[in-house]
Amino acid sequence: MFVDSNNKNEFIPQIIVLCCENSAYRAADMAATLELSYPEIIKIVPFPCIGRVEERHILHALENGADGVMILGCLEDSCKFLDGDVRTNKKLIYLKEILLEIGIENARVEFHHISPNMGAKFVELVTKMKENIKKLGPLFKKM
Amino acid sequence: MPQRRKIGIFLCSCGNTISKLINFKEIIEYFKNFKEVELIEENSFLCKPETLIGFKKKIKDNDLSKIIVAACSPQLKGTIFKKTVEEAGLNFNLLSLVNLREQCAMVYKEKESSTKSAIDLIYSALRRIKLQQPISSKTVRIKQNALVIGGGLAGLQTAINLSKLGHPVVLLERESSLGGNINSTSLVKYNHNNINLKELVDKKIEEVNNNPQIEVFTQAELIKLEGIVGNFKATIEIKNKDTRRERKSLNMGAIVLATGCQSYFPSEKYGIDLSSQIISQSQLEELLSSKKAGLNGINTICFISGIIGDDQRLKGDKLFNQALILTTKYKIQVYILCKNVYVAEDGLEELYQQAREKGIIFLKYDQKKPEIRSKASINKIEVSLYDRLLGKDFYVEGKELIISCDLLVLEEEIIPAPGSKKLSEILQVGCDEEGFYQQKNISLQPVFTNRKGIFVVGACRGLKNIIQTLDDSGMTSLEIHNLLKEKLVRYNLDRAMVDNDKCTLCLTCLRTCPHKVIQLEEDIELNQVKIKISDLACEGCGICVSQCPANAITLPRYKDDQIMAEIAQTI
Repeated sequence: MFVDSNNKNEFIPQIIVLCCENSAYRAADMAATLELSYPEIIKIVPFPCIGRVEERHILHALENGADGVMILGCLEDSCKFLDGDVRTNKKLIYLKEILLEIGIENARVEFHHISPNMGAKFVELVTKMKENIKKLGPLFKKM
Repeated sequence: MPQRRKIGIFLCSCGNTISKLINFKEIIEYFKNFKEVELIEENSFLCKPETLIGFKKKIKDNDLSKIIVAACSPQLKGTIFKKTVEEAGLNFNLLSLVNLREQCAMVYKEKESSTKSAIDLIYSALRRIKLQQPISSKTVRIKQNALVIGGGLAGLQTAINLSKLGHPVVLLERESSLGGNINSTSLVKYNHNNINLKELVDKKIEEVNNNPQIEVFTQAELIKLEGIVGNFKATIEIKNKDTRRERKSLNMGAIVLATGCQSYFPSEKYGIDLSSQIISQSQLEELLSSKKAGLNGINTICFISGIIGDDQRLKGDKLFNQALILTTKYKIQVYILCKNVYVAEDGLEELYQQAREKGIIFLKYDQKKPEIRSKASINKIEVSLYDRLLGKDFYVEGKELIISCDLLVLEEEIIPAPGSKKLSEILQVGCDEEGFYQQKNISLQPVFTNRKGIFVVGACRGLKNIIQTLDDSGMTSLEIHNLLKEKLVRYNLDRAMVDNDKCTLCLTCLRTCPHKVIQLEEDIELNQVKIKISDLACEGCGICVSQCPANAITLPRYKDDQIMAEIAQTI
């Protein structure tokens, strides 16, 4: 878990953003062109379609340092492969139920629709998630 | 002899754009002592041709086996770097591109954050690239002909265009003669755009019949389709003159659906039936073109548009033309009731102008639909409506406007031709709610379907306009030409692949593939069926990979272990 060197006690949430190459990845690029910035470090992982995302990838992220996982797919009826966003959204509904049973809050795994020109929205979503997770605290508390 | 992995990391400072926001020295310090990293260096403009020459030389001189390029977004210069790496003798999948500019340098306010992020991104790429293997390519031979289903104007024009571009065409027509909807004898001459539709279609039919590149089968239907783009196997059934049925198997490169539409009068939606005084637009057309004096004694005709259906626009030149003929030739008073007059197409504005000048009265209604009452005693139909423009304030106590007419003409619905649903199942293409071949998705551009190599033209995709249909034919033939112009097609094997040993034949992948490139194939040696994914038509989305319960399918560039290596260990 990354610890801010200035304030050793401040919790900085680790957010992983699983991005669809056709929409969210380009939105992240656009955020840079618009000269926006993220508050703290996030990590972006690209996928050919957000439909490629499996539950195990999200669990792996949570097991390996991520305090929150954001999954971004195309807008409804805009998926280049027709129903990738719908399929992944459905997977997440089930996954979040199970995570809740083992004590992992719903706010830690989120799915949003985004289009490639929504640079500002990308930053907004990431910032909001950081704030939410900051309130929830780290996923695995240090012993 | 085990080869030591030699990975080269090339950082690009992009002039100064990236280097002033990231501490490159710290990055180089961090990675230079990794045992698998042979070389890590900074370049000024890595994408420049001069720099790329040095780049290739360094790869060869240092005998690098895998390359990481950390520069601007892969979406920008990705192809250039891939091509360069191949020129240096390495497979394109042994290159990893890290987005150091848009995802790192430009978006963090502090240099400390961006440097930490850069280290994390490069480290993730390092873990991932260790699992990346070369991806080979394959060349297949494809058929360059096309099958056009439907012999109406759309199908005829597409066949003509395709043959002009050098592609042989097989044209299927279900009826015994070509021409489609414009075959009927009740066609009125339309002066709009100076196109006499019947003459136009007759000319096209003659052109098709005289063209040796176009093979026409009438009384023929498609009953089965197998295979994929470039190698479709179509089974057609032809009804011979002695009512015997003959089946033929054809190998085609591409398929075009041009099955057209039909008119349908939805009595259930109107709540009234057709009668001698309430007729449909098609019936009016017959009256206008027949020799019999069907319009004798008619003084007032009322058209109502927009009672059924969501599209509440008075559409098309058909109605204006009919109304104008009634006014000018038969001196009948015409009322047109509608919600909105739609003139956003070529020539409609002029027709509307003409209609108004000739004394046709347009009345607009809004939420409250016109009421239709039959006054049998005076042999008239009464239509009452609340005029939207005059509004409630004008009339005292909600008095309505009542029009007493001899003939009421109601518009019909345009629905897909009979058998469209069955054909969409045979071809596995999507439909919208009404049954037209066009799924609601903006990434599906006009004439394309969810399946590569299958196209849709004309009225069967919901168009209601002749000019648009001709445009569709042109567009489709160019797209098919683009697809099939080379006899040999070379592509990378970075498509989905199935491990038949793990496959349990649950058929989930077959059902979920959006492009329908997964089929069951018979393995004659082993005497069993197995799943086959067509690597030519696969678009590499990975949906089947994630849906397979047995993890039997892989996508070479996005394997699970590669993804998880990239995700793991955030800093």
